[in-house]
Amino acid sequence: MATRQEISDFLASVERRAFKQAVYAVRDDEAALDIVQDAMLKLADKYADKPPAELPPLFQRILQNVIHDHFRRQKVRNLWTTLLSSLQPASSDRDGADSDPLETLLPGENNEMAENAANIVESGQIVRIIEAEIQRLPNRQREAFIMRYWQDMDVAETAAAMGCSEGSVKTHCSRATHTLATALRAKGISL
Amino acid sequence: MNEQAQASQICRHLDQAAGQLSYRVQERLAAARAAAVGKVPVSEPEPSPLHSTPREKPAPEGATPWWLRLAAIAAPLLLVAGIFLVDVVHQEQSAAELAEVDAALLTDDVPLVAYADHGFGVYIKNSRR
Repeated sequence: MATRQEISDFLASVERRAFKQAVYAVRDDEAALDIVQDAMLKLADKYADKPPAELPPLFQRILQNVIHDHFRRQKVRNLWTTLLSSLQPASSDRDGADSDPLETLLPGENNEMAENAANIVESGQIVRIIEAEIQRLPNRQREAFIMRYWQDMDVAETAAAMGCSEGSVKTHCSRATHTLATALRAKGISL
Repeated sequence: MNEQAQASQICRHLDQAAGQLSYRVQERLAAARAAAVGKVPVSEPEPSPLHSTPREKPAPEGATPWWLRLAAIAAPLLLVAGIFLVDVVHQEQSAAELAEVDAALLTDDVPLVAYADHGFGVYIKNSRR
């Protein structure tokens, strides 16, 4: 059984990546924070009796489920919003119906004190482009790529977390990497 | 560059992005983590074998042992049985006395009318002693 300290250390080690992972999926910082918090609470509430070694794949699975739940709720909400908005006058504002993906590309706060300004700008631009390309990936490819390569999970763990076969994980990862490399090359970014 | 190397390069940039989260986001994540850790039940230490509870529970204080309860039930039964026995013996003795008198009457040559006399009855009793 994992102790409080072990769970705290584990969550501290994965929370940043989990947040970015959620942002890439839902493209909304606030929703991503809620998703990560929900996943953390579920892990601590229901799986605290698991050994520490089992926490990473469990947390990934919980995170994926919470993200999927978010999309389900959003779908229902959008359905009602569409139905209700059709009853309103055409001149009324529709907030959030057509979110602009470019809004997620706003520059964040950086701690780039020691680096050269040109490198900082270039590096920041590359990161934003890569993040945008990650967000453009199909959901399954993005999930497989992030879990397999960014979260350092092996193929079996990724397959278990995604609920698919190991062959599908390899296919998703290969396609995602190829798509990303091609897109970045087209933008003049060499890896 | 193979797939693994390309993925590693991309992930290096993703790590960079994850390391540049705003202060507000970091605070939210820390608060979420604290809330989650607060829901983890505190693990209780395993009881040591020296202090483990015995398999057989000792009888609680004030409980009556089985033999005392049996004695409590048997005592009135024995009393009733004794009274019944004494009564039976007493009846047998009375019957034997009456039978003795009857036998003496039948075997004696004293006329039956004499037995109607009170003084004669006393005489017979005294003569037996």
